[in-house]
Parts: sequence; structure tokens; C-alpha cells
Amino acid sequence: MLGKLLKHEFRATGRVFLPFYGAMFIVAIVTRILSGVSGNGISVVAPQIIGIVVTALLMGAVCVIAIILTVQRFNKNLLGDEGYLMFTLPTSTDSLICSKLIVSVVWYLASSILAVVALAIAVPIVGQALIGEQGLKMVLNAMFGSGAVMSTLAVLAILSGLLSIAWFVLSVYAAGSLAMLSNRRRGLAAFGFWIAISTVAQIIGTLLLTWAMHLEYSVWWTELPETAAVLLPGFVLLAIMLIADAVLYIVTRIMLKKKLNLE
Amino acid sequence: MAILEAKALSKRFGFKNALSAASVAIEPGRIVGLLGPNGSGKSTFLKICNGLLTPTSGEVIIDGNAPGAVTKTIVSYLPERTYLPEYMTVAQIVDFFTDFYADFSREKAYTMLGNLNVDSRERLKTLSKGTKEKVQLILVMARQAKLYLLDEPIGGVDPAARDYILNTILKNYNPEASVIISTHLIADIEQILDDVIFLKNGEVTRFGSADDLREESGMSVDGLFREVFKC
Amino acid sequence: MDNAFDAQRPIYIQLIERVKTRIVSGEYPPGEQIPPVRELADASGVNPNTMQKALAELERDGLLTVQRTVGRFVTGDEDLIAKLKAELAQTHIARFLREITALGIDAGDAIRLLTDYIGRQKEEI
Repeated sequence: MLGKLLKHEFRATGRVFLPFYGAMFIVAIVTRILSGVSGNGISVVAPQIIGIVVTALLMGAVCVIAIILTVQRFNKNLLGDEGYLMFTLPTSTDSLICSKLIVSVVWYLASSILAVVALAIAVPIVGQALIGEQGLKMVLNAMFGSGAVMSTLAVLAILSGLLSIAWFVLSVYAAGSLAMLSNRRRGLAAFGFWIAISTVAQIIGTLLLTWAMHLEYSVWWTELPETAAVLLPGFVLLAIMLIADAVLYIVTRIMLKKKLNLE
Repeated sequence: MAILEAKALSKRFGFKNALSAASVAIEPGRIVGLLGPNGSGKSTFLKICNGLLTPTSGEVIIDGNAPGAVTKTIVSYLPERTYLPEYMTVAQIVDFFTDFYADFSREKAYTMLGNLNVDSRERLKTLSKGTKEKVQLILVMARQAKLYLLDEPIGGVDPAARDYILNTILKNYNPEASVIISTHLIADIEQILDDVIFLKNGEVTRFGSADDLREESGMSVDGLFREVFKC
Repeated sequence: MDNAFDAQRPIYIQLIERVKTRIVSGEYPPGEQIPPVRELADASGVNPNTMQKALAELERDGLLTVQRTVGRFVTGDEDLIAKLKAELAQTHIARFLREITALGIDAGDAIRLLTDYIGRQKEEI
């Protein structure tokens, strides 16, 4: 069932994204062509500047769309009229939530990566920088080619990154679900809950950070072997993100399972 | 075993009791009318049977299970509203149902769509309201479910379409399945009903066979309804 | 769904009347099979359960017989059918008289009017 939901979700969102990706790449390629095959630098010619600007705008648009679609797919497809369709399917609530969560995260990643690629195409210098010795290769080498500790940190960083994207998506879901508690003006309620969730998260995050700073000077910290001292924050951060995400997921799940009230 | 059994089902929204201790048992192979004025709790009752609402107290058992992923495989629900994604074409929504419901029959769906001259390449957005409602009904009836829950299937539809819909319901009759039709347009459907549930202010005030009701009261179900629900 | 059922009377009773009429008129000849429940229900626009109930009662009255796995048959008992015909005729006559006397016409006049009417019908043919 999850597979079918994923397929359906990708289709429904893809029809919005793919045209934008297409447009973004076409503009990027045209810009590149305009800057001439001999391009190593950016010759200051108006069409190229326009081209670069438009590419940048489309990159921005694609990222904004990813955000908007996260909100819209959840609220329209699950909590709106379409909810009558989705919630009577023989699937579990978990599958419904996860299908949307996974698809959202995938689009964020795809959008970010493709946006950079488009920029690389449009602006030769950027492209060179990425592919060349000083670019991507160097970064990847530094991350995974310089020993187990660095590699572990790199993996932790990537995972944390994914979890923070998930955090954003889940905060939208939790806020939207909690808004079902109110009978009127659910849009406003959802926004209100989202602000509340973000604020609480900020506060807790700051508290944890302050506590962590004090930690550096306490005794047991300095007695740790160096590897552990370097890796521990990474693992702790991951654990915190995991817990935060889990909390939001559970809130969403409970609301959708026990407190469903479609209007 | 009853295909649907509601035991003292209650649902409260804030201060309002949408359903109060509603208890009914419906055997397989029955076509049942869930009758009551607007706001009497009909939609609430059906939503609980679907798992779209959780009861405040009491329970409903469908074919031995509480509403959940298992009952959803055997319950086919037609909501009162248009609820399908507008951007999809008729063909795509048929594919969707085929994907998710093992008991969905494409052939049946396309036959019925053909009867109504619905072009499967049309987007749902472009269909008239009446046609959209017919498509929704077709999708529901193309499933070989054990329980069909139809919320106001004939409201706002022209008389010819109404006949078609009632005919379709009769044609799909299956002694192992039951149909619950909730409506306030009783005169149009009472002919096809086996049993009748009267719902007033969330309470079940009558539950029995339509013919028995006619014999006892000497009135049509519609006539009896008007008396019971006189303003 | 306009099959002209009177919603104020139990539908199954009206279905029984219809089948009886068809038996008596010869539309369902004695000893012959009648269509299956589903078909009859579909044609009348009623619920198969209701039709089933009607047919079951006709079986109890001996007007229909069931052969397992084959179907339902009209009884071969022609005397029974003749008796039914007489009964139904009485019902119609009773109704006619009720209606005609409600107009203030007495039974004697009614018979004369009836004979005259039939005579005229024959002339027109």
C-alpha cells in the first residue's frame, strides 16, 4: 500500500515540479549558449545577465514550490474533501503520513541539487568550480577520504540534514492536524499551531545549546578520548533531531487516527 | 452474523449530541434506508462506520471488526460531496481505484461509464456536477463490497439519473452484501428498501421492515416520515 | 421507478396481486416456468427480497411450485387457478359496485348500464 501511495503522490506532485524543472533547465541551457562556447568568464552582455537572473528566479521558485506543495498536499489531499477518498482507502494512517513525508523530502533534495546543477549550466564559472579540482571532488574527498572519524561525521551531518528537512515537513503536518481541533478558520489555526511548534522548538533548542556550551568545561568531557569527544556532539544532535521528529510524527498520527474530523 | 452492528453509538461535538445511543443490526442482503431530516445524524453515523470519525462512546462492528484498514477493504462509501481529485481524468481515477481496491472491477466501471456516455479521457474538473456524481456512484458500485454506504446518492440529480442510480443499486444486489442509503428524499426510493431506520436528533426512533411499517400504519414510509418528523 | 406501486400498501402484497393476475390471465400458463426472482424484481423495479417474499407466499398458497436448481413453476392445478380467477373477479366486481354506488347509482341500474355498454362495444367492432 505504501508503494501505491508513493506512486500516486509522486504523480500528483510531479505534474507541478517537472514543468518547472524543465523551464529551469531550458533557461539555463539557453543562457549558457548565449554566453558563447568560449566562455570561461562571464562576458557582460545583457541577455546573459537576464538569463542568469531568470535561472536564479526559477531556482528560487522551485524551492518555494517545494514548501508550498508540502503544505498544500497535506491539507488539501488529507484534510480537505479528498480526505474522504484517502482515509477510506484500505491503508494505515502511517502509510498515508509516510508517503507524503518521503515524497516531500525527496523533492526538497531534488530541487536543491537540480537548482545547483542548473546554475552550473547557466554560469560557466560555477560549473567549472564544481567539477574542477577545487570543487565537488575536494569536498567529497575531505568528507569521506580522510579517515573514519571524518566519514562518520560526514554521514551524521547528512542524516541530520535529512532529519531537519523532515522536521520542517512534520511541523507542517502536525500543525495542520492539530488545526482539526478548531471548528472554524482552520487555516488560521494551522498557522498558529505552526508558529507555536516552531517557537517551542527554538526555545528547547536554545536551552539545549546553552547546556551544551557549559558541558565543554566540565570534567567528564575533557576526560573523553579525542575521537569520542569529536563524534559525541554529532550523535547527540542526531538523537535530538530523531526525538523531535518522532514527537511531531506521533502528534500527527494521533490526531489523524483518533481525532479525525474532516469538514 | 450481522454485517453491521451498532451498539449504543454516540458522538458528541462540543455541546451537541450528533448521535445518541444508536443501536441497529443489519443482516447481509438487505437494502436499508437511513432516513431523517438534515442534521439528524445520518452522515455522522456513516462516517463512524467508515472510520472517518471516532465515536464518543459505544461501538460499531462491521463483519466482526471495528472500523479500520480491514473493514475498509469490504466497505464501499459514497460521500455526499465531490471528493475526487479534480485534475485527474476519469480513466486515471478508475486506475486509482483498481490499484487500491482488490474487489474493484474495471469492466463493470467502464460498462456503466459507457451507459452514461462519459468519456474516460475527460478531466473530472470539466464534468458537470450531475455527471461527476454519477461517476462517483459508478466507482462505488463497481466494487464487490460487503457493505455499501451511500450518503444522499440521489439528492440534486435529475429524475432520469435518479432512476438509473436506483436501478444500478438493484442490479448490483447481492445476498451477501448490504446497502445503506441515507436520504431525506424518501418517496423516490422507498420502493427498493427492505428495512428502514428513522433517525431523529441522533436517536434511532424506528427500525423495521418497510412493508411491516406500511401494514402497521396504513401509510407509505414517506407519509409516516412526514408524520414522525412534523415540524 | 414509476411502476405505479401504491406506497401506502405493503409492496409485497401488490407484487402478489400482479403475479396472480398474470397467472389467471394466462400470461404465466399453468405448469410453465416463470422468470427467476432477480429478473422479476428488476422488471418491476423492486428489491429482490420483497419479490422473494411475494413469491414465497404464492408458494404457500400452492399457486407456485419450486423445483430445486430449476426454478419456479406455475401450478398445474387448473381448478386452483379457476378458483383464483373467480376470487379476483369478485374483488374487481366488488370494487366496481363500491365505486358506482358511491355515485348514487343503484345495483339494478348498474347492471343495465353495464349491459348497454357491452352491447355498444360489440356494435362498434
